[in-house]
Amino acid sequence: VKSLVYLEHYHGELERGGLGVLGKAASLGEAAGVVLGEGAVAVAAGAGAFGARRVYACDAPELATPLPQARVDALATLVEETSPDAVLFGASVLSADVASGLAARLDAGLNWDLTDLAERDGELVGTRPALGDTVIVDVGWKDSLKLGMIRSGALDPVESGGTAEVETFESSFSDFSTLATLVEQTQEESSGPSIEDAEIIVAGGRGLGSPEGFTMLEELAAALGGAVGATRAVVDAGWYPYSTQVGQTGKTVSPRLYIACGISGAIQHKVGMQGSGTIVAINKDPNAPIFDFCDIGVVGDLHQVVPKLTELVRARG
Amino acid sequence: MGADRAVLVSDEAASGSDLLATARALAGALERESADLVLFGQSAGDSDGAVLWAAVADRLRRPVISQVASLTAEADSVTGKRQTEHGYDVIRAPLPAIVAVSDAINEPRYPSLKGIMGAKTKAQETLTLADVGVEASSAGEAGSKTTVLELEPPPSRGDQVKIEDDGSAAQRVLDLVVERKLL
Repeated sequence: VKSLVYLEHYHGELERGGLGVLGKAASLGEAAGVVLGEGAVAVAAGAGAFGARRVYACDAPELATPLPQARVDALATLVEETSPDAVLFGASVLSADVASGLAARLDAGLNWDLTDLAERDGELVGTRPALGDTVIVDVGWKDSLKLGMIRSGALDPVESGGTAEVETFESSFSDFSTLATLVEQTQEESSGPSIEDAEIIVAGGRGLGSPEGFTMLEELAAALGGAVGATRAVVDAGWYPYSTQVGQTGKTVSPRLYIACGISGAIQHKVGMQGSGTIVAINKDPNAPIFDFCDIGVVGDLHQVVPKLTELVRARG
Repeated sequence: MGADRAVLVSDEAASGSDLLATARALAGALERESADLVLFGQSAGDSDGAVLWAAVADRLRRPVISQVASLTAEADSVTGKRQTEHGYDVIRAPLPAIVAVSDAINEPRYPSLKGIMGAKTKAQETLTLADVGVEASSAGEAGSKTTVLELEPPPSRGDQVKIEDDGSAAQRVLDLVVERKLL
């Protein structure tokens, strides 16, 4: 399988999602990367260490802002020039729109939310948990050009130590592709450790009762050497920064241990943390959906259980 | 909920449509309407794709803004604030445009009794694929480029431990976590 992997970059670094996909693509055959936008040429070579033998880069001014439609133009151009068997994406807010737009443009099938890719009898097959992960679906493609988007966090980058040749390319852009413009951008940085790299996450939801409840979680996380996460409901309410949001519109995490405090377990949150090794849930509502998919469930008052747990962890030293 | 009119595209030949086949039919229906603003919701309950709008926007050659958490409309443009992994982007697009809102946009209100009664008199049009200019061969399974090969049950998460807190839950959680070598 000859793949082209779309790599996103942020603040001069390639994002983990795309690099994870790249490692998988390299294990299935020849893998090339593609990097678009301002600074693309500078970051492109870095993909060599993660499995790419060649990386295509385009830094046309139309690609300067993180908007999808001009990226569809650039990728369509590159697909035409290089004829890959598969174009693969790591899921993100931006790449989902790029992948879908490209599917329409090239009339190519797109499978999304994949957790794995394999070659079976010479054909590419994707693994896709569906219907709230109640069923695992093997999906395929009918045509020679296959588009696939991998679930965020499903594939970890593999450092293979190779090098890549960087090739710049030019693209033309459709009239409608640059009509949407970026007016303003707010970046939210978290102060604590990044939740995507954390081995242990202590997360809080509405059940905390107030923003102050997060202090308690920060103490437990500090004692465990972990990071703090939050649900969308509490981020929307302004209780905790967006950069810590776990779920469909936030981060997808897969720590060894995930401690969910006062989180009901709505699907929007579940999709962001179901890949965790062991899930501990503390909630006073015994009917909360999270008790259906946690490993250790505590029905009780988190204001009692969490400080006590922090104390016990500290006492272990 | 406030709609003045509804259009349903319903056709047996549309059964089994993937992203491409769905986008084709929807784009066909939208071309008939030529609305200034097309709004999408967060995602479909079955396929969880959250991608359809971008394919439709490409077919209609219109600008698209997705994952919009708040939206304002001006005379000839819309401005949406969207959530991304890194923060918020404010994006403006001239009309006609396509906007996909995230479920952070609002809490849908409950329909009023008056609204429910009023809905019965609102016009609903049912269209076939032919009405929206899509041939049966470009719709449904025939018009799809992806396939489902096999279905399997998901791997089990293993035994679940449930604890009712009687004051000792914290200790039991710690013991279990240590037992699993997570600390």
